[in-house]
Amino acid sequence: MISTKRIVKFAVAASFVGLAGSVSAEPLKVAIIDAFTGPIAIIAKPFAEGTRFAVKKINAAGGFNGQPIQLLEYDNQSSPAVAADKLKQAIADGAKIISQTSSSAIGAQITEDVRKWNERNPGKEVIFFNNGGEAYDYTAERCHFYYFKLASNAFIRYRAIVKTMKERGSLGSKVYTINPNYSYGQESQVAQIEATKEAGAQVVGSDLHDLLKVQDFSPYIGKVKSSGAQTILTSDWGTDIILMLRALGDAGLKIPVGNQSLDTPGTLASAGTAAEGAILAKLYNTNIEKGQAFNEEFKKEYGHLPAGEEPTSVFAFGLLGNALKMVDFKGGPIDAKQIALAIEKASYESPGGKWSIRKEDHQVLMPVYISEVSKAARDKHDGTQYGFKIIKVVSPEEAAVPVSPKCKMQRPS
Amino acid sequence: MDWFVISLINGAVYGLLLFLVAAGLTLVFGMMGILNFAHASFYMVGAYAAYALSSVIGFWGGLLIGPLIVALIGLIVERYLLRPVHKYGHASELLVTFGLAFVFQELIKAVFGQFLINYAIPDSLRFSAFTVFGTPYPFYRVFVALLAIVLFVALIALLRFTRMGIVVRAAVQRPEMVGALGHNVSAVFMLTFGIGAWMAGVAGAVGGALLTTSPNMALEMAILAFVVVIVGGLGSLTGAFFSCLIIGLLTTFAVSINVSLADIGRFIGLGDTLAALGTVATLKLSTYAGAMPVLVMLLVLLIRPSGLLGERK
Amino acid sequence: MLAKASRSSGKGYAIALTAIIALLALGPFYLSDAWLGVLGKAYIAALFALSFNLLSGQAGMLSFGHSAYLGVGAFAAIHVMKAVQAGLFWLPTPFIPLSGALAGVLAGGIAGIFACQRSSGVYFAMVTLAISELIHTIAPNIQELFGGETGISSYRAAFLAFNFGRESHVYTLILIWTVICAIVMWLFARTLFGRLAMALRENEGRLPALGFNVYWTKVVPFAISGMFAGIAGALLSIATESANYSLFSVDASTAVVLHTFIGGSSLFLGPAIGAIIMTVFGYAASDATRSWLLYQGLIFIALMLSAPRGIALLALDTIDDIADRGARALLRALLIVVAVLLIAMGIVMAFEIVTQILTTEYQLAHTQTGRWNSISVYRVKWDPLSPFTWLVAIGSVVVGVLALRRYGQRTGPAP
Repeated sequence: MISTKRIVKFAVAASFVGLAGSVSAEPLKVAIIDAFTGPIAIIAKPFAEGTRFAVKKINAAGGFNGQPIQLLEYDNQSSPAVAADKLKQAIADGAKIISQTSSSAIGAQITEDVRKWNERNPGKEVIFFNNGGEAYDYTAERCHFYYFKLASNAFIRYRAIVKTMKERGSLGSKVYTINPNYSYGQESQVAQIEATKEAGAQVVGSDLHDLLKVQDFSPYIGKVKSSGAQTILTSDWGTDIILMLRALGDAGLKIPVGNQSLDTPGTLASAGTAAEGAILAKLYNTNIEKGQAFNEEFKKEYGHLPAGEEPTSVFAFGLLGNALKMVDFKGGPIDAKQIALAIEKASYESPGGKWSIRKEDHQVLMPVYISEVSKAARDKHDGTQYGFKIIKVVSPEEAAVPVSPKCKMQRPS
Repeated sequence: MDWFVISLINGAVYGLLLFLVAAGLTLVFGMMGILNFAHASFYMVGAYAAYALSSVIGFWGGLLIGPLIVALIGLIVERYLLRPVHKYGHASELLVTFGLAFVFQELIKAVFGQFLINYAIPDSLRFSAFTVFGTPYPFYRVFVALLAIVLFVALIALLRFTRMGIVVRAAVQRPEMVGALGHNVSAVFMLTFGIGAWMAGVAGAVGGALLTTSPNMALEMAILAFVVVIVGGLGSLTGAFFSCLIIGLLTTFAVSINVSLADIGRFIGLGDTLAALGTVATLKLSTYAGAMPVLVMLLVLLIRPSGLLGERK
Repeated sequence: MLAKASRSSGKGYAIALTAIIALLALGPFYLSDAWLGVLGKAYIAALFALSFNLLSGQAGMLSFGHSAYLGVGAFAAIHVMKAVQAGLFWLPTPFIPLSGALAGVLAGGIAGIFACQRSSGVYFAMVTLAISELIHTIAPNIQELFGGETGISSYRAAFLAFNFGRESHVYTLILIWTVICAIVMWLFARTLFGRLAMALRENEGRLPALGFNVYWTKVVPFAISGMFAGIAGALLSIATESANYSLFSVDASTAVVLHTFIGGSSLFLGPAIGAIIMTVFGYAASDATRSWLLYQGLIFIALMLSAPRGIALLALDTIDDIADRGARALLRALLIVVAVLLIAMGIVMAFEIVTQILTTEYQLAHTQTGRWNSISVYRVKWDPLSPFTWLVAIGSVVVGVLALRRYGQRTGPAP
């Protein structure tokens, strides 16, 4: 028997729910769990800047679900264990989208924890939107439905560099690879060897060295010289690439160097004239004509042209913004599954080409810019007389590498 | 063949730079028993101080004044931070220096930013000293080496031939006795600490331009400095000098070794067995070059713990 | 515990301790998952610090590379977890730490054989550091054992009614193991071997005269210390379901030294208290300010200068004082706490404002608008140009320092 009292209680409760639904829509919360302090903070900072810029733009255009997107930032203290706890906190704080960029050890922890959380808590899923990690296994063994890779990997970058150099005729027939001995360097070595063989050239030497510990690269340059190599491919960065280029210059050896990190702030200035002629694979280059509007907008906000990894985040979250336009929760609770499905279908027109997500492994397909360190570039970098002159913009289709057979993605029903 | 000779010289130059950093560390340790975790920070502060000054008074001004600033900081640290905790034992001193290392790094980051900065060799020093098999060898490296040798000789002369030097050497061996003889041991400690900091500052001022200058440069130097001090013998300046050269040369040569454990094994017929052990045996020894200093330190500790020229304690 | 502590009721401390542990055990009912996670890591750090102090506090041997045994335990555990996952092995999740114990005791024993050769403390410290650094350098190259840079991941397997998918299960497991290990270590101190270890610290030279083999008297505590460090490592693997070679880094080794001496090496629970405080501080501070590493460094220095025997002893002394002299001592303690807080707040405020001004973003806004924007500290906006702002910051420090000088000195011996 339903009493009047109960009906009244129910009606009152229902009206509160109705009011609540319309008054406080759930805002989308994006959590950046990155190394904001400590030695690798310099890697995380540009990504975070790009993300903040992109989110601000989305909010200026109305936000999502009737609310501005909230950006939460957590410092992971450069430790996978702490990152795991901050992830729990981010989820408890209501974040539905997690972003992390600067360390593959921490990224691996987060992608595994996100996958386990989603399995153990159906209905409360979160998305790991990885706008910076370059490790290959994210889209291979570790791939899962709620993971999206909005970055390139060593295979994409080096395939693009080698192909372009071959087309230009500057690759030569003998290639030497020098890489730091950690996961990314080792992956780069494999990528460089594969790409060289694909281009029909010969790898005459491959070296792995301790990361950021080698003070004198002249023995390596010596080996390069005696091998007769005509090109060096290296994934070195920071102090390593600077010292290597200087050693190359000191030895008077004029051969092109293929790399992917010369545009990190401070690097070009410290490398000096030895960097001239180096070939770089980047995900954006300010010198492109269609990028002027974006460049100006960014400069107004941050006082400098978009550099290093800042554009990566901007385009990645631009793609997210477009995905968000495809879903409508009408102010109600946010369902990460719908957003994930939308991201799979979304795309973003960056100045150089389209960014889109490949369904099979959630790897982003995007254009890769091959540039040369040259005085002829319009935009000078790091206060030097050099800039990155665009040689070729490799299209997303051409730049893509095949899906890894190790990726066995289980799609939700 | 030319690169072999070049890397030989480079190894020696790097070893000498290392000596400038390690000299202070070994004196301070020998005398006060303090393992100063913040010593490598003096190297970093020296580089940044020289960089900041060089934009105002030029490279030479920076080289002159920068290390003096570091020495001053060293004196203040010793007087107000280390001396009060001296009585509480070595662990407390250690922890104070550890906290100090953090503080220095964060302050540098706050003032100069987190990225690498362009502290460059001045144009006046960018020329070649001589040619090796046709390849020019940069003068700046020779300059660094000469500077280190001159300072080494000066320091040895100071310790051996001046009255104060004798007191310092005695204090390294028997601090209580020196105090009992009426010398102001505290002043001796402070002076030694200051000199050590000054030398590390000089190392930073020249090394920052030779290598790179960033807030992480202290971390990179720290372990190496400790290794050198242990291998050379705690408290022995000459020991530190030679162990620096050895370490510098060894790391450089390790890089040139293109063989792996499995290759060596193949030589004696065990190649396949070793290769089956997995990645560790098939990696070239040059990849382990970074582990060389630590390995050397371990061997020295096991075989001759007092170091090359240290006192048997 | 110390003889000093028995001045007040030793039983009182035991009761207080039990109450605190009971309160912590009920954590799952009032703490969020994130905090359960942080406290779990804090307990692991505490266990690790206790294992470290077995060597340094009792036997006087400073092990600088102690993270080697934590790491060995962590990897042993993760491999066992993977084997269980693949069905090759059966070991219920609550017993996984035993694999860490085994690995730890072996690693500790082997390391001890090398490290205990000579009697010099510096020698011991450097050898242990070298061993740890060597492992740290070689580990990333042995993919099969250490999983390279991204490490090895696994799953926590369910056991009986506990599926261990929930944070509260993991938290409780860690707490139980930590408490059990702490009790075992405390009892060990009272066994013959424990007393011998203490004798090592007091007067090593006498031991051979009493008929003991000094070498083995050192190696055994080392192995046992390694065992407990290995258990801590295994618990960490259970908590994060992963193990990474960064566990072997110098940072982890130095952190445990810091925790131990901040808490106090002469008190049994000192290291545990130091570890818990610093872990929680790091977690909370790292999101409150990006300069937290600077403050952490300053805290180390300040603590070593003002409380060289550790926070735990300081707290105990204060409690004894209050017990003896009542309200006046309590008031004095509170005043000191307030003074220290004032100094800290003033310094933090000054630093936060200055570091904010030095950031590129602030400088950019200044060049664009010409204004010196207000800076938010403690949720209040301060104008950097206003003298009031600096009056507050510097004033706090001055007032705090004056108060410390006035009340910080003991006015006389306790009756």
